[in-house]
Amino acid sequence: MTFLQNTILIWIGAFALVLLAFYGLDQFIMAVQGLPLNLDMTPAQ
Amino acid sequence: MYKKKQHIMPKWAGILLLLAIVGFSFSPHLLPIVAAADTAMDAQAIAERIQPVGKVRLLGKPEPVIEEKIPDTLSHENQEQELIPAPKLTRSDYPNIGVSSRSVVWLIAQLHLFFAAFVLAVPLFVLVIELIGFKTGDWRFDDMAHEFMKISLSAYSITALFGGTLAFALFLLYPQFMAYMMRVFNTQTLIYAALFFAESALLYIYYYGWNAMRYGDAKWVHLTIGLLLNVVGTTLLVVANSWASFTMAPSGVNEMGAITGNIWEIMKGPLWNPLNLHRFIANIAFGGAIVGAYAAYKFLSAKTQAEKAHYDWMGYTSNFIAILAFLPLPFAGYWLMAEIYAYSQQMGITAMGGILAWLFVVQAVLIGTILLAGNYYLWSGMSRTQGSERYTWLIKYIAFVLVVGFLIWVTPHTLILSPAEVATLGGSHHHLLGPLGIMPAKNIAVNLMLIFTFLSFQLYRRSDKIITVPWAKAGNALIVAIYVVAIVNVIFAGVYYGYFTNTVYKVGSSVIQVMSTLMVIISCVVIDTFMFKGAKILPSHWGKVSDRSQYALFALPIAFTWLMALMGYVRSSVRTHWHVYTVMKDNSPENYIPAIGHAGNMITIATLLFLVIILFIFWLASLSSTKQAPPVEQTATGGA
Repeated sequence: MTFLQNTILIWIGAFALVLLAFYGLDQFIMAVQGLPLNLDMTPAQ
Repeated sequence: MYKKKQHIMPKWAGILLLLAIVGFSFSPHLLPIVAAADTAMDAQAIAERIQPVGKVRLLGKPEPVIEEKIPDTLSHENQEQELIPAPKLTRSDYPNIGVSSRSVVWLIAQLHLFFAAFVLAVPLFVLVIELIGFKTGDWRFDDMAHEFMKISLSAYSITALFGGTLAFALFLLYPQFMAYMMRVFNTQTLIYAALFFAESALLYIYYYGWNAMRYGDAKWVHLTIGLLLNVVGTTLLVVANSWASFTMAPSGVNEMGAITGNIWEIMKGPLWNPLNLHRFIANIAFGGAIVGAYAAYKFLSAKTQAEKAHYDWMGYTSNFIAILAFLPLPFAGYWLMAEIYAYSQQMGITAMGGILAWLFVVQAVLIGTILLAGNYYLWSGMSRTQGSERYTWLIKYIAFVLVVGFLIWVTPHTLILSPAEVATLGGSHHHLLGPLGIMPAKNIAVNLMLIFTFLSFQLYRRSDKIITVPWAKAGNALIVAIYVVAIVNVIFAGVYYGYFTNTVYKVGSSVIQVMSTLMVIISCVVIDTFMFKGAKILPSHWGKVSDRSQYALFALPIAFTWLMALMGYVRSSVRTHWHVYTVMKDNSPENYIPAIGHAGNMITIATLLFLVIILFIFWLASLSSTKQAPPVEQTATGGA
C-alpha cells in the first residue's frame, strides 16, 4: 500500500476511479431508459 | 430505577407482535376489499373493466351513451354490473351561503393539511431519535424525542378539529360532489375512520406511556407502539392521497365517471404513488422545520445556559431533519410532474406552461430561501467548535454557488412584454438570459445547490473531528474527486443533452443529474463513516451559537408553509373546471383557476393562521411544564 503515500498518485488514482465510475453510470442510466450512448457520450442512433 | 433482570417482555416479542399484526392486516380475512382485488383479477374481469375506459369516441360520431339499468334488488350480480355515471351538475346544485364556498373550503382544507402533515411527520423522526437514544444510551435523545411528541400531541387535536370542519364544509357546500366521492370510495371511508381511531389510541399510548416504558425490554414495546403508530399514520396519508389523486387522474371509472373497477383499482391511479412519495418526504421536512422553530423559540426565551445548550442542540437536530428530508424532495416533485405530463400533457402544460408557470418562479424564490436559511444556520453552527476554522474559507464559495443557482432558478422563460419592450429585447426572449429560463438550466442550478448544501453538512460534521485513519489523504482525495466529477457531470448533462440534443435526451439526462447528486450524498456519507472511526473529537460548545442563527430556524417553517400552500394551489388548479378531471364537471360559480393575486391572498391568510395557531401550540407546550410558585405564608408582623 505504498502508493497511498504518494500524493500525485493518490490524486490521479482518485480522479481516474471516479471518472470511470461516473462514465459507467451515465452510460448505464441512459441505456436503461432506452437512450443508448456512443463511447464519446453522443446519442447512439 | 431500572434493573437489568426485570424482564417485562422478551426483547423480540414486540417485533414478533408487530410482524403478526402486519401479516394479519394483509390477510384476506381482514381486508376483504384487497382480497376482492386479488381474487377477481381473472382475465375476463379485467377485460370487462378496462373496456369502457378504452372506448374511443370518434370524430363526428355521437357521444357514447351509458344505459342506466334498472337496479335489480334481487340479483347481487346485477347490482355489481350497474353503471351509474357521475352526476351532471347545475348552478342550483351548489348552496349559496353568501360567501365564496371555494374560499371557505380552501382555507379549512389548507389548515387541515398543514396540521395533518405535521402530526404525521413528527412520530416518524421521533421514532428514529428514540431508537438512537436507546441504542447509544444517550438519554438526551430520548428526552428530545419526548419533547417533540409533546408539541405534536397538541397539534393532533387541532388536526382533527379542522378535519371534521372540512368534512362538514364539503358536505354542506358541495353535496353532489361529495355524494359522488362517497359512492366511488364507499366503505373505504369507514376504514379511514377506523384507522383514525387506531392512530389516536396509539398516539396517546405512545406519548403517555413514554416514562412507563422507558428502559430495557419495555422500551422495545414502546418502540413497537411507535412503529405501529407510524404504519397507521402513513396508511392514513396514502388513503387520503388516493382521494386527491383520484380527482386529478381518475382510475377505476369509465369516461362518464361510472365505477367500473374495485376500490384498489380506484386508489392506484397514475398519480397516487408520486403524490405519496412527494407528500411523505415533504411532511418530514415540514415537521422538522416546525420543531426547529419551537427549539429556536425556546432557545431565545431560555433563562439558563443549560436550557440554551439543550435547545441549541434540539434546533440543530431539527434543521438536520428538515434539510436532509428536503434534499431528495425536488426529485420526488420532478417525478410527480413527469407523471402528470405522462397522464395528460394538457394538464402538465396548464401547470408549467400557462398562468401557473409563474408560480414555479415564486416556488424557486421560496426554495432558495429555504436553502440559504438552512445553509446559514449550519455555517453559524460551525462556530460551536474551533475545528471549524479549517473549513470556513469554503463558505464564501458555497454562498456564491447558492446565490448564482438561486438567480438562475428564478429567471423566467416567458415574459409579459409590451411591443416596445419586445423591440428593445429583439424578441420575446432575452438573448443571454432566455436560455436560463428553461428546464436544463434550472436542473443544473437545483442539483448544484443541493450538492453544495450537502457540502455544508459535510463540513459541519467534520468540523469537530480530527481524522486519524492512515488512509485519510486518499479518502479526502476521493471525496474531492467525487465532488468535482459530479459537478462537471451535472453541468455537462444539462448543457450538452439539454441544449444540443433532442427532447428525449434532454429529459433522459435529468436522471443522470439526479443520480450524480445522489452519488455525492451517498458515497460521501459512506466514506466519512469509515474515516470517522477512531477520530479525535473536539469539544462542541452547545448554547453559544448566535441569536441571529435562530431566526434562520424561524425562516424555514415560514417558507415551507407558504410553499406548501402555493404548490397545493397549483396541484388543485390543474383540474381547471372539473371536480374530477374529465369525468365530473364543476358547474359552480367559481369553476375557474383562481387568479394569482387572489390565490396569493388566500395562501398568505392560510399561512398566517397556521403560524398563529402553531405559536399558540408552542405556548401550550411551555405552559404544561410551567409550575406556579407556592404562595408565601402571611406572617403576623405584616398586619396594621
